[in-house]
Amino acid sequence: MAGIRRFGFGGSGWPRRLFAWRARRLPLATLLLTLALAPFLLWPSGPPSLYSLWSPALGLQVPTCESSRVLTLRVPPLRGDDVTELQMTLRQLSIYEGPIDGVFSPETAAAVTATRMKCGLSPIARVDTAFWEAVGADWLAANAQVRSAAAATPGAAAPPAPPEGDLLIVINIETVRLTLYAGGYPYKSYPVAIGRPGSPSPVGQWRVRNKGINVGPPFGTRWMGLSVPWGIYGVHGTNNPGSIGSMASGGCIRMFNWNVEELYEWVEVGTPVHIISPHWTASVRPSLPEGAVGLSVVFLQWQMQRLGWNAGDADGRLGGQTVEVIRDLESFYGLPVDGVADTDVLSLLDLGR
Amino acid sequence: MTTRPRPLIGALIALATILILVTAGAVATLVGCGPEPAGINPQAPIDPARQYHLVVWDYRLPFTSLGGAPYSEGSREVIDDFERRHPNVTVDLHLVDPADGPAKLAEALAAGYPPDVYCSPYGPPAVGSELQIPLGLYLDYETWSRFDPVAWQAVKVDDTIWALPRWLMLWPWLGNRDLLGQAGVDVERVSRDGWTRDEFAAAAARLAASAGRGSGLVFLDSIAPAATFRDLLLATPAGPTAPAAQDYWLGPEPGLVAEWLEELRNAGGLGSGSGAIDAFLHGKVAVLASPSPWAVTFLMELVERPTPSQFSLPRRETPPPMVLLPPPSGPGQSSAAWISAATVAVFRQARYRGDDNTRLAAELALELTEGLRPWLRSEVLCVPATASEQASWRLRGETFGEVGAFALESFERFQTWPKDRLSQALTALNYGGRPILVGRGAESGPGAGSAGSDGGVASSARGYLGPFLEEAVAPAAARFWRGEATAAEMVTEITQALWRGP
Repeated sequence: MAGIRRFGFGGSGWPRRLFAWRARRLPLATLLLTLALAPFLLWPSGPPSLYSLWSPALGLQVPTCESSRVLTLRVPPLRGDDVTELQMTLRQLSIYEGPIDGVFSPETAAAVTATRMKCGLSPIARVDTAFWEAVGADWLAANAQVRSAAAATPGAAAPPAPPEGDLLIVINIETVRLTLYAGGYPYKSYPVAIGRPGSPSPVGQWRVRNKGINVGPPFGTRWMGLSVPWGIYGVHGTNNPGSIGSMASGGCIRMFNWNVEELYEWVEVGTPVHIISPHWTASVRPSLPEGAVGLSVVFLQWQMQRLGWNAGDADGRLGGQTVEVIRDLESFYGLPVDGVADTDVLSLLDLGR
Repeated sequence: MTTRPRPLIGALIALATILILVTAGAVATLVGCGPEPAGINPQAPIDPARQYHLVVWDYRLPFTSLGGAPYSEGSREVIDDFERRHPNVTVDLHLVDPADGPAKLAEALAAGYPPDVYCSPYGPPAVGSELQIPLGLYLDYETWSRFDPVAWQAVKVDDTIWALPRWLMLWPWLGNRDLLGQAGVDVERVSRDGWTRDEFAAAAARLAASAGRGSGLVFLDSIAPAATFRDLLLATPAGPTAPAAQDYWLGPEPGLVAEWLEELRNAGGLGSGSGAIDAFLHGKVAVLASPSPWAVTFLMELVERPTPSQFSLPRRETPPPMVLLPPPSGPGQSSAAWISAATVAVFRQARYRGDDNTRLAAELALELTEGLRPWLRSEVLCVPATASEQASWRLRGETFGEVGAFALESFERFQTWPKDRLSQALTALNYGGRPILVGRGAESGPGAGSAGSDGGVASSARGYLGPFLEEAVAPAAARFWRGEATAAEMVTEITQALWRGP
């Protein structure tokens, strides 16, 4: 009982009763306590938010390209790309001048507290949904011209009619823009945020795999998942509009919410999405096995396309069609036909060592 | 008193007989046992009131003309023009992939329904199938004279024109100029005049001596050992007349070539055949044997690297300076690079659709053979088959420097060969000198044999290698190249296959 008093429960009646109850039913209480603490034991940096558990129920995979954890001051300090993005945002707001090192330090915490106070939130060092919503609203208020200026193709008013013809979305990593093509012609262009250097956006030729509305605050108001085989990536909105135009995401393509809402209405599941990067290179390991996935497969497929082989989409999967193209190439060049992209095949694709 | 026949019974019997005959006819038609041609009239009149339908197969090849038109556009244009001039003919063009095209043709032949016209980069297909139409019937003097005589030699198998020559391909070997210089080879002379196997072996020994042990250098490697063995036998033997077909394999030359390769291997001058192109590009192989003309062109970068549009290519190490070489020859022989033809063949179906249909197919085949191929203009090792196109190829060849000169000289060398010698050499090496007309009596003419039999089908499931090379030589040569067989074992295996027959 002395311990309880020491922690400030001495004057209250219910803690005493609880303690007594625990003393009598210690095993049951231990179990309940363990269950309550389990998320924090399993996820030391904080349990996942409820919205990340929501999407599987709707048939969507849990998006992983954006962190949804709550950031607070801990010992040891939280680390990660989401902390990096937080620090970049705080610096953009001229509230933080510390290092961009991805460590939720006391200095970072102080800046978070100051930001929350500025936005009218409780003055605690906690980065949660309310924090990002407030920061986003603040940023939009300070940058009101963005909505009109950045939304549409320069010099053009919002198109009155939906796009006609086959749609293609092209995201250029180097210009940090998303362009919607309709019937082969550019229809509208949007600013986006792309992946950070440590978590780059997946270059390749993908398709929209699924769509969702309000799948969670970090993803803004709309989500369009991509058919990337090695992770969950998508084109989505954001609760951090100040990040648009930068390399800020975990690989996803972020858009202003009002932009992604417009695009969402036009784009259907199956629409091709090409993420390009004119100066991107990758090495291709010889003899990749059938079924391999990854950027090196994208590069292999893309080079096949460029040299006139019917390789289909550069979708990062070394599947049946890619193997068939390898066999065709071997046959055409007079090599033994085994469907394996060995060193000789890579040499004849100009991808040799 | 005589009994009058009952008219009702008689009518019933007549009706039943008619029904049986009609049913039998229908069944026979459905199972593909339609009438077969006893002989083909190449001048069969085309019925203007009849609707004809032809099916063309061509390959999906990775070529584009200037302006980006794909390879198949050329065939499409020829077909469109043909349809305009023949309003009662429709033509379906199907594109097949290089790897499975031959197998698909084999399947179609086995089922009795091959395409009417088959365009192939791989040479005369399905020779010996009773469904393939010999095309000599459709060739008049004027048509003959439009093509280079070497082109006719390249498609003539066992004295029969089984396909029309679309273009010809030269198969030089590739040399690393630096390593050959290190080996004391006068590359200019060898490239121009050829070399002997003794000269080749001596150069290999000099390179091994200068590089020292542990250098990892080999003098010769191959991506297709059977093709290399084939190349080394092409110039067999010396003399103005061609030997009998089987003598190419049963004479002394295969044994001599095999022993020579074995000596080269024992001296450490022969690669393993694995990753040969990669090793050549990294300066570890002095001579790369038997790359296809497309591979040679690609490796020599006559096709420029495209401007990056989406991705950048990784930085490439500087490839070695290259030179085109003919394979070495035996004493007294003259070196010659292998030559193959891309062809257009004509087939009939098991359910014969008439001589008029076949004539239309042959006419379309000829037009596809002679159709313009703008993409060919950048492929210096591809020689047009027609004399008119060849003239401009010769002019262009001069602008391709050493490569163009090599191609011109190599091609002209065949023009000096005695009549039919090239044809006999190609027939013997590709088909093995065994009876070629599988399932067809030579005297029985087109159309003999039963529909759907697999006679000759096996020979269609190949790429550039002919059936004998693929079936008998390739496995033996691959084992030898990997060091799993001696020269004697390789030759014995090939000879046994020759005696065993199809």
